[in-house]
Amino acid sequence: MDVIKWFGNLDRRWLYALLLFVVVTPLISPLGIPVDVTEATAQFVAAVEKLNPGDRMLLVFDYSIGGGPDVDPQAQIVLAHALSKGVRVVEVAFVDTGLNYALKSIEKWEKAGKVYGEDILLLGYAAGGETAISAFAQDIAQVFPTDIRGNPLTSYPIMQGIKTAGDFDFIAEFATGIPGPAEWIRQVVTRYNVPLGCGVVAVMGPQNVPYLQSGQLVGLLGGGLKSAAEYEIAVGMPGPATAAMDAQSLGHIVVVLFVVAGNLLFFVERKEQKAKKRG
Amino acid sequence: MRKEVPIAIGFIAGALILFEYFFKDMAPGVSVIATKAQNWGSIISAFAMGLAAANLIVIHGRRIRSKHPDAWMSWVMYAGILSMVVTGFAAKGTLLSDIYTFLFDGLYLPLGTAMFSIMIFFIASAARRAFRARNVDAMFLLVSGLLVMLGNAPLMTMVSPFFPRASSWFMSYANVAGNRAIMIGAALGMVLTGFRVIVGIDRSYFGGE
Repeated sequence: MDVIKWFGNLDRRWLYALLLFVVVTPLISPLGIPVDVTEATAQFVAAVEKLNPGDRMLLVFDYSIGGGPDVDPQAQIVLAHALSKGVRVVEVAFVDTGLNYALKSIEKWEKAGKVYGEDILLLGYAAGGETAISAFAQDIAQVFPTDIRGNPLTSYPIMQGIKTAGDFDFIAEFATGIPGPAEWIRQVVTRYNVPLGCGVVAVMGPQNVPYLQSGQLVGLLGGGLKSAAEYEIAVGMPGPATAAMDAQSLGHIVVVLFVVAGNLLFFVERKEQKAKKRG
Repeated sequence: MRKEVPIAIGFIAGALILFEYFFKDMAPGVSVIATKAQNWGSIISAFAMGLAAANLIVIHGRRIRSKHPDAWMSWVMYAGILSMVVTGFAAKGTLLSDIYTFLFDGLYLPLGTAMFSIMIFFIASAARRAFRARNVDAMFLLVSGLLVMLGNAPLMTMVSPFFPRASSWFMSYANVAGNRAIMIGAALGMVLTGFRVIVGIDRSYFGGE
């Protein structure tokens, strides 16, 4: 009883220190906790795996800075997986900060030997959210007459034969809010019947599971960083998400312990109050 | 005319997009007009961002002029806007100049990420004090929340396969059932609101009451 009361009244700064310790320690010295691949992630991997060399994927960077650490590893591993299969990737952003992540990925893969305009391409950023997505889906050249480097889209081999969103073989969309999966399903999947896979921050995962069950999404990375780790494991390319899993795992468990301890304290206090009333 | 013209524009724009969405194959010409109209939407959104930036500058200008105790924060905001705009334009569209990349990677990225990351401390502290089984409803919420959280921790998967299975069950059945009800309800509401705006019954976009 005394231990529970002591914990309940403990200064919250000690809890912060404990949490910081359990999160930082495994980042410095990884524990190597194995990560299981969930069904939703396996479906996403299978959808990308189905693509043939030369197929074209649209990769959408619809994420903000705050959610970036949760979603960017997802986008990076999907991009790496697609490029490793010879799939050609066209990148675009409908969230302003997403463009910076896209630019970095282009720079990284160009250094790795991929040819801009043949293997990868960045269209740029379009403001307007769902309206811009709808216009883009109907006529890409109307929204992006040129790519981010100012050249006409027709000058790039990767864009030959692509006029609408329906001309892509697969769309992978990564989001931290609006626009997100719902907007892409409404404006693109329903009208053009393109396979769509989405990656979102962990808090958005549950609300998008119905789209996966209905078949409107062919894959969902709905667990944030954990989904990215699962994807890395599934395709045999362990990376930053896998390395961060130990920290996230221990962080979850500490929060659960806090909740359990808080409830034990609640029951102890209630029991004491009842005893006082009786006495 | 001050009311009739906006209502007429709203009706034409709404009806055009709606018609194009469902019957684009029947009237290909409508698709071209609808795409143009939506491009105007994008252009207006881009202008709205500029307007928001101008508004921010005006509001913080007032704070500085009134010698508000926190006016120094407004100067920091001005410095931030100015440095990003200047370095962004200097990068000539590539956005990958060294100074812009340094500001983005060295300041904006860690600050934004830190704001999101420190939530774990508030969540942990709040979880200890507030997430309590005060009644049966709260008990269900607590148990399901804990099981989903434990199911998402790879360490607990090693302890027992029960945790990922329980988490998966809650996500696939309880969560989907609740979310579908909300989504279908919200979609019906959106249809009704859209119809009211198109025919001019809902005029809330005029502003005011």
